[in-house]
Amino acid sequence: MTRLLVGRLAACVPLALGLATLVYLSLEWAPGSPVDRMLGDRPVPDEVRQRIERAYGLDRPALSRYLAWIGDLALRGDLGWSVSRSQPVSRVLAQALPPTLLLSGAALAVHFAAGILLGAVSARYRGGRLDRALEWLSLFLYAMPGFWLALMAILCLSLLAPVFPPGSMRSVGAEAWPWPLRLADVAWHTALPAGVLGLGSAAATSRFVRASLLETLGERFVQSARARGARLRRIFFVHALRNALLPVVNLAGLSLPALVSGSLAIEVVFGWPGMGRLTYEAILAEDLPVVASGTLLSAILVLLGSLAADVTLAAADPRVRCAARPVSP
Amino acid sequence: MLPPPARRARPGRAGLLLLSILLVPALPGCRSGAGEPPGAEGPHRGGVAVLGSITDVDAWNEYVSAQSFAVGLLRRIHLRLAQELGDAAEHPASFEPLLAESWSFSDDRLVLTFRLRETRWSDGVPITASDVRFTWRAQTSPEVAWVGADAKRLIRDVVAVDPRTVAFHFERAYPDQLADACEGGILPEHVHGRVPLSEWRTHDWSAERVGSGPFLLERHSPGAEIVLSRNPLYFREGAPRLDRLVVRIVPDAGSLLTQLLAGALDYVEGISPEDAARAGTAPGVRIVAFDVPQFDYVGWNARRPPFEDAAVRRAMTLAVDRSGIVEQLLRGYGRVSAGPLLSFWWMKDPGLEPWPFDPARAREILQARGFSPRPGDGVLVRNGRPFEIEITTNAGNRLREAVLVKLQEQLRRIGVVARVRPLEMKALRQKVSSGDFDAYLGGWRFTGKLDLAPVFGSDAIPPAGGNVVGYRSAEMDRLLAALREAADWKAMKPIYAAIQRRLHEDQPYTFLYETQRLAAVGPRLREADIEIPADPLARIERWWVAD
Repeated sequence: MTRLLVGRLAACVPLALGLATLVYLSLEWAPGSPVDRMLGDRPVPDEVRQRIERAYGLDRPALSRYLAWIGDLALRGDLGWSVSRSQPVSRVLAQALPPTLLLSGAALAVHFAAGILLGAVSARYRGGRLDRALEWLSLFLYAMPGFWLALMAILCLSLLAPVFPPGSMRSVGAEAWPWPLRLADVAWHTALPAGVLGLGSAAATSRFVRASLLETLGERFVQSARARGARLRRIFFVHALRNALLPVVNLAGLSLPALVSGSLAIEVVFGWPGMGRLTYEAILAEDLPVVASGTLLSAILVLLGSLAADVTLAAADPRVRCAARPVSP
Repeated sequence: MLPPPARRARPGRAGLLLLSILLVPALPGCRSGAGEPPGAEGPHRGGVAVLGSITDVDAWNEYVSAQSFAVGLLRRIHLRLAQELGDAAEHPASFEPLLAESWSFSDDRLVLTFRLRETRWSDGVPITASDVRFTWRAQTSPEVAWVGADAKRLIRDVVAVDPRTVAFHFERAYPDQLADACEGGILPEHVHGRVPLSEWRTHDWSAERVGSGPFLLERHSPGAEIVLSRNPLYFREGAPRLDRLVVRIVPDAGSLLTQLLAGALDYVEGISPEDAARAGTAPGVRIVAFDVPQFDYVGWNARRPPFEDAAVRRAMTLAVDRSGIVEQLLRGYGRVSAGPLLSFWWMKDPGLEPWPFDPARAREILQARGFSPRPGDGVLVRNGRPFEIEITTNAGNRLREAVLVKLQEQLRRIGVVARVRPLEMKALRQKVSSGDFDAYLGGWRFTGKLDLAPVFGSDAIPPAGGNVVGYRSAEMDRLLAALREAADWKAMKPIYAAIQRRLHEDQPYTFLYETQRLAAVGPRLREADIEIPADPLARIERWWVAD
């Protein structure tokens, strides 16, 4: 297991760097420059334009800029300067990451809690009215784009019935409140975007859990538990659901990257200052160090997420652990 | 011995949190419902106004930032010597004293001397002539590369005569001297001077919070929120009325409007005409339309046939239904443009009417120039070559892309085949400056003073200048030279009129429309009037909220 871990972790570095390089160079060679984005329609003399490019080092060839970026990253851990935000990239990422972690963490909790609950209820009442209703609900949530769900949620729960705030991460002046109120305020602002984001993803998971649960309920060990006279509730929750959730663990691991990549649509609609918006705005502003560093971070998290899923699965399922051991002749 | 405290009697942390969750929606700051009560009758001090913005501030330094929104906020932090007013319809804009309390010209008008107000920076340090000189050095520094540095081109030196007197020495006398001297906020030398000019573009200015204006930067959470708070040392008694100004960054126009309608925002600027129609019907929401120094045009490449002929260019203008574009695409929030001198500027020629929409006359002109319709498809042909052109614009600008489609359709009606090709900004700029285009749809946004010579002078054809359409006119060159020599604005006015008439006849560009900017003001916010179109937040110190 240790060898597996070390090997996988070592593979992460070149893979993540390769991906960041690909993103950096492909954007670098695309037409346009951050200075053009910055100046737009303003009639600015070419001389001034060139001076601005020089000040940001944009007058150097693309390859030289890339090598400088990767060199600074390797030697000093410096991710570069964000032209569009006038701040070091590390600070820009550090500002965007916590809101994304909060939103995605809450959404992931909603996603799996709702997904497992709805899937279990569907399987329990298989073929009944409730099962059919949940199937329709899941299909609806799955089919609707995130931004539409977000707008509808704002319309219903912020405009028509003002229960939740329509956007932002905290109330005006909240920074002066005592910490429990501040915490509650953030929770109040997180509820709607996290709910929308989580329920949208929960739809697919609930169908997955339902199918997995129904398959498990037909397994021999369930039948034998039933033959031994175990109570139905115990069979369902302890024997069947626990086993049916093993593939969900894998799914959860693969969802970890979403924790840092953020959701562009939800962040835009709710004015949430997270990584999704940051990356999108950096692409529009052609702010390459931000895009490349964001990609690097996401890539590392994807690889770590997939590794975490494997490890968790091995820990949860003895069969996987056994399969991982070498078989003696 | 005292008994241990009865822990059960106090709410636990979980209980406190639950209580908080229940209480949060009831707190005064948590405004989520629409239609606040009207509240107080008259203006009063205090309260917080919440503005919404699509864009965030790119840099907390006016000389590094390239955003008009950022500069609009920075003008509230670092005052200018004097503020240009919005009364430029009949004469050049007059100026209201800010950091300067008075000014005077020398007899030869080569020296402009300002007497500074006796006031202090927000950290208590006096504002002196040395700060003004320091700011001028930064404004003209090639390392800082300020985009507005052209305004300082004719200022030879800035001399601190004494702590409260500063003299601007000019190369020559000209009508815009005061405007040029006042362009740009004055910075505190004791704060900004600590950063070498060569590092200004790679310095995080959000930590430097000393200012002279009505508001100071309190907090900036990038992508989320900006909080400006009242400057206690602001020189105007009782101003500003608001305690704080909060700017919420919401990158989607639809969400911004929804938040305004839900009562979470008090002011949103730059909304689309469609959104204005939607917001205008909401109770208590007011739509304010104001002129901005900006217009869109189609530039015809005069170095390529058939656009070397002014009559053909005129025919193109006659074929375009500009009123229809203003009505349909701008929903009436704009005006058909008669030329580069905007309809709300004193330089405009009030007697000059834009060319009408007259496709029949356009066809006649083109037929007189040797074009004839091809049997079958009606495409105009001359010397066996069909009249086919490519019109390009910057991709991503929805309005311009929609206008391009209209142009294509309208030109087709007179037999001109136009291929539309939106391009990325840099690619467009390269194509246009190299002269490799037939026509392009672009826009001009004026942020400083007007200078027509680099756009219409024969000596400004690239690479020498910005006359990208290659327009040549001896009369125009003579008029531009006369404009440079004019002693005052009264002498300039007839020259501007002659320039407009020349451009009207020659049509190097089809001047399409002047756009208006729209702001939506929520029910709580009072006296949010826009008096100075170029600086919509100029009167923000008078704004107040009815809570």
